[in-house]
Amino acid sequence: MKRGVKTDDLCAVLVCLYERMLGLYPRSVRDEFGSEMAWVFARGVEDAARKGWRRLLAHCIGELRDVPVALIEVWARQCEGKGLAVNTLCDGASTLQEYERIRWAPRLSQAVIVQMYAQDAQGIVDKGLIDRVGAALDARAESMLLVTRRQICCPRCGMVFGLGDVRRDEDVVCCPEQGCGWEATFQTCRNSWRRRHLFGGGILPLLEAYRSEYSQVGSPRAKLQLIDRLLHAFGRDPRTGEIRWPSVGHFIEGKSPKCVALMESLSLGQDSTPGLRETKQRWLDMLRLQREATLEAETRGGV
Amino acid sequence: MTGPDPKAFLPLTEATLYVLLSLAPGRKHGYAIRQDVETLSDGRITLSTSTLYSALGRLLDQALIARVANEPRARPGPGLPRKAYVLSDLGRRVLQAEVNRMQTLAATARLRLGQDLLF
Repeated sequence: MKRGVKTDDLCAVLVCLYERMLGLYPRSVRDEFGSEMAWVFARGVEDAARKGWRRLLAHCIGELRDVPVALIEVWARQCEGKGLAVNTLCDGASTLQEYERIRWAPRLSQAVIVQMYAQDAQGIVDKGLIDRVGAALDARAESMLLVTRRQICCPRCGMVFGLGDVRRDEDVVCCPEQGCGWEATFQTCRNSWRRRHLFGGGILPLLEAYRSEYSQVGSPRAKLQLIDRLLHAFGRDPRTGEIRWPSVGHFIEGKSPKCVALMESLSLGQDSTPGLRETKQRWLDMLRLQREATLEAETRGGV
Repeated sequence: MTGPDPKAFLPLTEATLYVLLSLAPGRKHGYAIRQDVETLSDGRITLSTSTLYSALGRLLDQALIARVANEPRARPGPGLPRKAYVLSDLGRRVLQAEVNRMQTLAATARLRLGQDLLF
């Protein structure tokens, strides 16, 4: 096929349509594979287009034909292990034991965060909502601390224990509590935290501070200030201590840039809780500095 | 130490077998796997993007493959940073078990066909 503007345009349209179709996949799959899938699809379309119209048509039909089956499989797998891991016992048999799954606190929905800030901007102190968000973040911080320290809370007896030197997938992790007897492969443990944004190496002190302070504050506004500080935290490079990235993506559902955009878009009112405006301004300043530094590094890399 | 029994993963689907075979020599990114599967199957199997990533997701969940750091590039350039996949120890054992199973099956079939020819 003689490649020209029309072919390139057609390829671009096909890729665009495919990217739209990726919206049918579960969020976690999109986050993990979405950009890669779009890239592979684009390469496939380009290669097929070079070989002729028929090849391109066959390629597109082949891609479309397999989508429904893949979607069903992916969604079925997602529902089976939604937010949880399936324990694989030592004998290799997979058994779904609801009460013995390793559980981690999920991220909060964007809608809840928007609602909390919107009410606060109007001077409404919704104690119930603030308590729910605060407690959810407390649980989330606890999960992140455990995962980052390579610890697990036994789903059978509740004992917290470290994974030590266990690193191979087939190694067996056993609860050390006498008489408990819960065990799982390291693969099961690893699968339980994979793709859940639970590693908080750069914000460990912030998580510890939040947990310790949250248990002590009483008033809703004080709780909101704590929540606000955590959501506006920046992660630091564990080795150099250098400020690196906004950590909001650990706490709110969605890709990190979208979470950052959400936090940027939240407006504060005259009646907002004292301290929120200052925290946000500091966060915006740091964000600007970080973006400038990234841009500078990219420019330097490009040269 | 007792690990998962490789036989518990058998039999593998044809697509899964080819993906694992493709990763046997070393790490590959998604598009390279797809091309390699086409070559290995003599053009008979062309994995669509959705089938490929559905299989990769499942194999990652089963820990038969693992994701490794992005391939280092000789020169910085545009395009998506490639994520590469490698066969895990368990994946290699499963692949070996599947090959053994197929060999046994083929041997049995040959024997039966040979006997049939004799009578």
